[in-house]
Order: sequence, then C-alpha cells, then structure tokens
Amino acid sequence: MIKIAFIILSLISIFSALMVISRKNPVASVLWLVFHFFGIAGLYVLLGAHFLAAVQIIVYAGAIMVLFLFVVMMLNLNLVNNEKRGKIIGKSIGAVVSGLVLVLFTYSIRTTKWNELFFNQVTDQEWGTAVKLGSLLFSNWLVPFQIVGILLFAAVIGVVALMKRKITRKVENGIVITQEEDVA
Amino acid sequence: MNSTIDILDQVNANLPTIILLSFALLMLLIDLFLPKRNHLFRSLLAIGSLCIVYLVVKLLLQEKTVYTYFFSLDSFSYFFHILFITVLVFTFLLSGPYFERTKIKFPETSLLLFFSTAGAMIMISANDLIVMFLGLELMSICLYVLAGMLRKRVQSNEGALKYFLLGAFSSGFLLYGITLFYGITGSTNYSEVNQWISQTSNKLSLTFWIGAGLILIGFFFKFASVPFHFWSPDAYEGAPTPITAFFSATPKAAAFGTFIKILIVAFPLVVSDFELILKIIAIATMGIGNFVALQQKSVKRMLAYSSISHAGYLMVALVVKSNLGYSSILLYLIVYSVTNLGAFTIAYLVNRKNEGSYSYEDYNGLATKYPVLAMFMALFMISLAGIPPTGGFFVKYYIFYSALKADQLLLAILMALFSAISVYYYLKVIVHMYMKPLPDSYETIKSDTHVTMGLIFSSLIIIIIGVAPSFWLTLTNRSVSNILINP
Amino acid sequence: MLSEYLPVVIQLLIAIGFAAFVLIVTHILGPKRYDPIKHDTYECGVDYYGNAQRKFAIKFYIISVLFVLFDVEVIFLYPWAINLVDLGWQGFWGMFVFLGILTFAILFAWKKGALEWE
Repeated sequence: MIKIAFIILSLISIFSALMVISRKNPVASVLWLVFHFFGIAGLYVLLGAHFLAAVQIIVYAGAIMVLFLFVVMMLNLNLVNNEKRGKIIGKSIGAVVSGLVLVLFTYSIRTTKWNELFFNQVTDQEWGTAVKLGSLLFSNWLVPFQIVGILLFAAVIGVVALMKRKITRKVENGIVITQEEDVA
Repeated sequence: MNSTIDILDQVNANLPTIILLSFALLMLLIDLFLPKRNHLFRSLLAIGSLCIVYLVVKLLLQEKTVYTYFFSLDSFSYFFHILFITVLVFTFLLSGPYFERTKIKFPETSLLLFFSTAGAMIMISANDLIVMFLGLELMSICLYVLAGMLRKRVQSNEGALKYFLLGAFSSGFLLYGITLFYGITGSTNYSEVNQWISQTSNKLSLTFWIGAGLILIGFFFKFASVPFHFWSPDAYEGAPTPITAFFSATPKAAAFGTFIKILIVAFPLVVSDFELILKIIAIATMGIGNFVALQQKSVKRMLAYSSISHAGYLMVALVVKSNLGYSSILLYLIVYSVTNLGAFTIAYLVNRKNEGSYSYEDYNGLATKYPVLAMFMALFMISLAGIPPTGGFFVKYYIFYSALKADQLLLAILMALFSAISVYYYLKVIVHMYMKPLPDSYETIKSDTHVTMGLIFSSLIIIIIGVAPSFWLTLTNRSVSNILINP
Repeated sequence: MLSEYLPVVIQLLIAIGFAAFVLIVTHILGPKRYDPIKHDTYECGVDYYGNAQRKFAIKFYIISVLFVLFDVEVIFLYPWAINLVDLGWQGFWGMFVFLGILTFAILFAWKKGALEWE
C-alpha cells in the first residue's frame, strides 16, 4: 500500500517538476510548481514527517507561491523566447554533470548500509507529528528556536530597507503632486 | 542527547550575543521614536558597541566558560566575539562621510550590521551543525541586503543578486551535506559526529564523504576560494564601500573560525583526508586572486581580488592543520580585518567622483596634499603586502613558518612567491600617492573626527601586532587550544 | 498513522473527480455556438488592450514578503499550542520571547511605513 502511494506520489512530483521546467509561460510553470509541492508534501507524509507536510502546503504552496506569482508578474515575463535559451554545448554539459551527480548519489545511497544506521533504532511512529516536534522544539531546542525569530526579524528589516521608498504627497493648486524621495 | 538541556546554561553561553542584540533593539527603539540625528546616532552606536566589547572582555577575564549541547562559550568564541564587535565599532566609526554622501538609510544599515554580527557570533559558538547553519543564514541574509543598499546603481543590484543567488546555492550545498550527515550519523552535534566517526572510522561509506564534501563546498563558497569565488568581486564592488570592508572582515572570519572549530571538534580523525583538496584549492585561490588583482584598474576591485588571495593564504594554514597554523589564522584575521577596514575607508574618501570609478589616478599626489592620509594608506598597503615592520608581515610569516614546519614545502614556496607578486599592486597605490604629481584641479577630501579616530586605532593595532607578534600569537594559540570539546 | 490520511485522499479524489466530471459533462451535453464576440475577453463592454499579465507595483511585493515572514511565525504557534500544557512555563516564556522579537519586527515595519498603501 505504502509502496503504491510512494510510486504515485513520486510520479506526480517528477512529472510536475518536468512540467515546471518545460513550460514556456512562467505563470503556468508556477502553477505546476504548486502541484509539485503537493506531491512533495505527500512524500513527507509517507516518511512520517506529518508536521512538515502541513508546513509544506501552508507555507510553500500557499504563501511562497503567491510571492512567486508576484515576482513573475513584477518582472513582466511573458513567453520565454526559445532562441535566447542556452546553447547546445552548455545544455549538454549541464546534462552530463547532473547525470553524473545522479549516478553518484544513487550509487552512494544504494551502497550505504542504512539498516545498520540509527534509523533502525527509531521505533516511534509518531516522531514527525506536531506534538512530538513541539515538545522538542520548546524544550531542548528553545534557544536555537529564538534564533529563527531573530532571522525573521532580520528579513523584515531587509525587506523594508530594500523596497521601501518614501513618498510624500502635497496638494498644489488643487493638483496632488506625489514626490518620490529615493535614496541612493 | 540528554533528555533535558538546561535553558539557563544555554542563555549563559550566548551572553555576548544577547547583550549585542539587546543593544541593537534599544537602538531600533531610539531610531523609531526619537528625532533623527545621524551623526549622534552613529557616535551612540560606536560607543555602545565599544561598551559591549568591554563587557565581553570582562566576561573573558572572569574565565567564564560554558559548554552546552548547542553552544559553547570558551576562549575561542570569546576571541571571535571580540573580533566581530571590534569590526562593528570600526565600521560605525569609519562609515560616516560615505553614508552622508550617498544618503543610504543609516539606521536600517546599522541594524543589519548588528544582526549579521550576531549571526557570526552564533556561528562561532555553535556546537551543532544546525545551529551553526542558523547563525550562518542570519549573517548571510543581512549581508545580501547590505550588498544591495545602493539601490539606484546597476552594479550594486548585479552584485547583490549574484551574492544572493550563489550564497543561497552554497547554503543549499551546506544544508544538503548536513542532512546527509544527520542521515548517516544520527546527530548534527560536532562531538557526536566525531564519536560516530571514531566508532566506524575504517568503513566510512561513500555517503559520508559526499556529505563532508558538500559541507566543504559550502564553506569554500563562504571563503570565496577559487572555483567558487565568482560572486565575490562583483558583490564587493557593488556594495557600499564601508560595507565592503565589513564583508571582507566579519563573514570571512566567521567562516574560517567555524571551519577551524569543525575541523578540530568534529573531524579530527578525517582531517588528513581533506588535505589534498584543501591544498589544490589553496594554491588556485592564491594564484588566481593575485594574478587577477594585478590587472585591476579600480582600487576597490583590486582590494576585492586581494581579499580572495588572502583567503588562499589562510587556506594554506588550514592545510597545515596544526595548532600553530590555526592560531596564526586567528592572528591573521585580526590584522587583515583591521587593515582592510582602513584601506577601504581611505579608498572611498579619496574617490570623490562617481561611485563606479575608484581609479588609481585619484591617488596622484595625495602625499603632498594630505600627508597624514597618505601615510595611513601606505601603512595599510604595506601591511597587506606583508612588509616587515607591520603586523601584516608577521602573520604571513607565521603561516609560512607553520607550513614549513609541517613539511608543506611546495605550499610555503608558492605562498612566498604569490605574496611577492602581490607587492606590485599594493605598492602601485603608494607610487601613485608619493611619486605622481598633484593634478591641477583638486577637490578637498571630506572627513570627520570619527574617521580620524578609527584610522588611528586601526593603524595602532597593526603596529602593536607588528611590535610584539609573539605575545599575540600565544594569546590566539591559547584560544585555539582551549576549545571546549564535550568535557 | 497513515490510515488517518485516507479521508484526505478520498476528499482529494472526490474534488478532482467532481471537477473532471462537470467539465466532461458540460463538454458533451452543452450546446456549441461559436462566434467571434463570444471568444473575446469580456471587459464590461470596453475593448481590451495589452496583456493580461501586467507589471505589478513593488508595494504588493512588500506586503506579500511580510505576509510570508509572519506566516512562518504563525506556523510555529501550532506545535506550541497543542503542547502548551505539557511544556509548562518554560514553553510559555519561550514563545513569549519569540513573539516579542517579532513584535519588534512589526513595530519596525509599521513605523517605517511599510504597511502604508501609497
């Protein structure tokens, strides 16, 4: 049963990933990426990482994809021009390198004796649930967890510092004049 | 992992970082709710950070050391904490005229500088790969933003984007390596990784080596060592110059410090297997950094490439993998950071035209018009080139010596050769200052008291280390040999 | 554990199945009348111009980045909330500090005017 679910989910993920990189319309790519994230979330569930699967759907498929769509639209990319894509040599080098990496990883994962490693000792079926994760996160990992808060804070400062422009409005002779005070 | 970890111990282990962050939050409130006076704000920042340095030194003198599962506060982390906050003080002191000229929002910039320093401090004190990664990300995210602060300049946007994309890429490599490590060893803690290696040392699987390789690649990106250096010149050129100085100091020191700590604590048994790859990359980094720096027409870009070559010298000491090598890296980092901060400051002071130029011709006749400024610049260049009376010579000498002592003859010879080449482009600045005639039209250089103070302090540090190098080496040696390893 | 996901799978299948069913049925049963005006984009009687994918102002982007950041913050509330009783005061104050840090963040964004719609 799990095996069938795994095969279906990985087929969904691989197929949608291929669709992401082969679409000419960037908006279509982004929508396929949402589909891909659902497949990945399903794989997380199979691995027992239930909370991570929920995060994957809420944060990635929900929030981050909205951001992606905004970026795609902000850059005003319409159809990607075929002629401007990379030359055949670059493409084939990329293909060879990624193929070699694939072979290397497959080989190393096949040769590692996983059943001798610590995963065998994990008997708790619920280790990936929000309850288990929360009890670890807020006891042992409490201080590292605060670093995440600071990281998010730094990101907020970065967003405001990079993107915020000061716009002043004043009314002259009944006409609203907007002035953009742009630094640097 | 023990079932309960004392939170209070962890807070104690992070005391310097927490002091720094609380101060940053205080400055945030001052910025948000009090009327703006940038000059005053800057002095307040510099004085406050100096107080933090004092507090950290006081903690150090009490020999207060804490070891927890995630963090440790030992003489090694004290050393880097003090270095980072000192760099911060210098950045605040030296950046004034630049920010007034370019009208970059200063409060945001200063907050980002604080946060990236905090990230670097977390990186150094971390005992766990995940915590180290969190610190690294905190540091890098702030740096990506800082690199793009000059929003209207195309070069700045390009540099920031390159930095961001390649930095995110390298973080991905690092994280993938950490994941593989976790999958194999079942832990991300440095000491536990080491324990696992010692139990299975003779049959390490290929996955282990891939994980280790990915972690190494992640760090090579952060060092800007040669096959992975492409982001660095553009990011350095695009960033506001005082920020460039900060780039060449804190992130580099943090990356090298963390790497040394990982080598000592997590990988002492496999470190000799990394020797070949480190050696090749060290030679390539020294070579390419120096040869490309020779051809640069802009002083800022020259300094950027020279920082690549300095990363190469530091990697020579990593190959040596003795305590002498590591402690000379620490000493090198002090001298190099302080010198670079000063050199970049004078570079932006002298460059009064547009942001893109930074040409050597700007230095023509500087010595007749501003003899003191020229003297400072000459001192910094001599120190970077590694010529005797300065600290720059002795730190290079120590690395050279440690390489000879470890029978790395090839590396030592190449290092001497490349630093001889580097003398050319450093001395070129001095030649322009002292031997070229003053141009007819000459704009005045605007400086302020903060900058003067900063330049005096930085040259004092260089000279002090040049006068009594062995004393400082014993200090850094103490820091390296006292890293707490799972007591 | 995994069997608990069965309702989710069934719901997904029903949703996809219903959508496919409706599309196919309308395709088969619905009358087909083509004319050029029907194929035009409907814009309240005004002739359309340009492309549907227009450049967005950056202010949308600021809001959406801030949304993502605070979304990540809120995600951490879930494992905290369901464990609150077991975690005791330590967990409570831990979350208090975390939210406190991010309160500073929202205060910063607010005072700098990032949330204003100009």
